[in-house]
Amino acid sequence: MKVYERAFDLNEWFVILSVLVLFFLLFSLPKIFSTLETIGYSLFGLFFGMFSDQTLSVSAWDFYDVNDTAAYQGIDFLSYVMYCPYSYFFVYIYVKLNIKGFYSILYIVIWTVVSMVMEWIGTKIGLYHFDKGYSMVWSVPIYLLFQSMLLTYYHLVKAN
Amino acid sequence: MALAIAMTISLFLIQLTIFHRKMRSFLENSIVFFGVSIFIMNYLTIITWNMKFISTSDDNTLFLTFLLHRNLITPLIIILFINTVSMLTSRKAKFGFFACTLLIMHTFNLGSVYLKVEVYNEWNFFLAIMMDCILLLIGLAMLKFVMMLGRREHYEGL
Repeated sequence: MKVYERAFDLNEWFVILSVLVLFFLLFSLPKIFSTLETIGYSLFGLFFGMFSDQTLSVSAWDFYDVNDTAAYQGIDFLSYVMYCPYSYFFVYIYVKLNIKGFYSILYIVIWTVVSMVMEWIGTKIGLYHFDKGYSMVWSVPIYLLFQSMLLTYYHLVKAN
Repeated sequence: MALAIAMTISLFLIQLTIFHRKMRSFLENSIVFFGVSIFIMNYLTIITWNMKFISTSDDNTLFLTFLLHRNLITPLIIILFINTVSMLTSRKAKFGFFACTLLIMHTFNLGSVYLKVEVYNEWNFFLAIMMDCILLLIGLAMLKFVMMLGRREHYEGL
């Protein structure tokens, strides 16, 4: 099992502070969704974050590791929880700005850029450790796909 | 062969989930789906890659089969289970359906081991059945919780 470091340092603090700040923002913003919708949009982020990481970062593929070791740790789970407010804000801003039609594509592209910047910060502070030739380029289609699916999910929730 | 079987079953289950008469809304069902899937991914990651109780194959097709079993087949069976149980009225019928669903889930566990998708090191079929029982109960508990939240919101809105 690979161990990158054992210290409780920048990557752990980044995850903990992000979770605290983002959830504080989530609860302090004016409510525009029902509780069930809020849970749905938040769980979407957690589900897909966990799905992609626990698919791509485990054997047989094992393209990257999250946090200090290759093993699954509590802080890894917390770093997935970080995705909850992200997916919530994605839908929240989309609704608040009343984005429609082709602007949705631009909106997804902007969020993909933001996600890439966050991932780049993650690689610099030791949150992600890439392996086997995996690079951030592969994350672009993944973000585009998941964000498109999140918009589809939002419209399905509204329609049903 | 394992991947072909898993894909066929997955597609069949997707169609069944779409056309099955659902007692709950899309949002409620999706929350249960996400919640159950998150639980499955966590426990499987811990017992497979941390504790090494189960080994997965390095073969790409077998790993894809494992993913379909983990992220599609099991959660969809639970969604179908909770929606059917919501429709049943007698306790006997509910227990009967619980047992049938457990049997189906166990058949998939047997299939996974037989087709070498999973190798049980320190895991066994009894523990697998216990986990399937827990998953079905978690699905039911999540549905109750989601329904309670929905009801509370409805009354607050009145």
